[in-house]
Amino acid sequence: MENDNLQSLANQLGWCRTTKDYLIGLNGELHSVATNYQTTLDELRNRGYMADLLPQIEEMNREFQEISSDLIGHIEREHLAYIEKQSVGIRVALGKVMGS
Amino acid sequence: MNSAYKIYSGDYSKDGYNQGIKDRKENKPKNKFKFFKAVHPINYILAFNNAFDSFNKNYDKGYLDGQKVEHNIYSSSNQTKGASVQKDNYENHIRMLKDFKQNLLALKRHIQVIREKYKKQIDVMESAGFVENIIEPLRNKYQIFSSKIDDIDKQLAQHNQKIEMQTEALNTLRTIARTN
Repeated sequence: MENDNLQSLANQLGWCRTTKDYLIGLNGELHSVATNYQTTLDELRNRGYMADLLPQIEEMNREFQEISSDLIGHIEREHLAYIEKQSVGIRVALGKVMGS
Repeated sequence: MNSAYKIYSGDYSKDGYNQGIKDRKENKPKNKFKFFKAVHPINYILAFNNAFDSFNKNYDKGYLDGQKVEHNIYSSSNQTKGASVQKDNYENHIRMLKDFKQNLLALKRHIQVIREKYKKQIDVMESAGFVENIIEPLRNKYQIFSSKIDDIDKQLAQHNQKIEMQTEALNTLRTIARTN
């Protein structure tokens, strides 16, 4: 019975780690593309890009910074924080089972 | 991202990226030991693997992006004067837009893959031993997450289309410049 409980807690902890890895990876990717968006815009601006076309890219950059920052924040606040909270609870339970 | 959250989640992607860019700009060789300067001592015991992986992965990306600028991939420094300058600019601009579009397309694929993986994770929560009152809130959160993924996916498609149109306009201008 105790072994089953231990295995279940270990599975849950593994689940938390894998899921967090996915989400942190996604946030890293979003951050990287957002930075790249800004860098590309700056490079185009500095290298004499067509004045008629540049405002559209500036607008796209603003839109992307906004939407990516919203998604990153949502993942951090709603998902990673929730999963981390579960991880903490599981680690405490695991400690109790192993200590008993 | 505030620093408390960074410590909490072990997400050092931004630090890694910025350090990679900085090292490249300063012409320094890659040095991932910078991680140990960036990391908060608490992360040696909390979320260390996430911190280490997120820093290193994004350090490489930052270094590579810095390298593109360093090696003047988009440069017009070898251009001659007059019409050929304009032609070379078109070449560089078209190449920059193409590279950038590849980034957006890669992200478009990546968000779908992660959404699917996350859904599968939630689907197996019960068999992993989680109880329903832990699973249910995450199912609800997932619905909002999925809807935000739809929004960003839609925006990426629109942006790709606009970049495509700009590339076509530049191609036309380049052709005209060549014939002159």
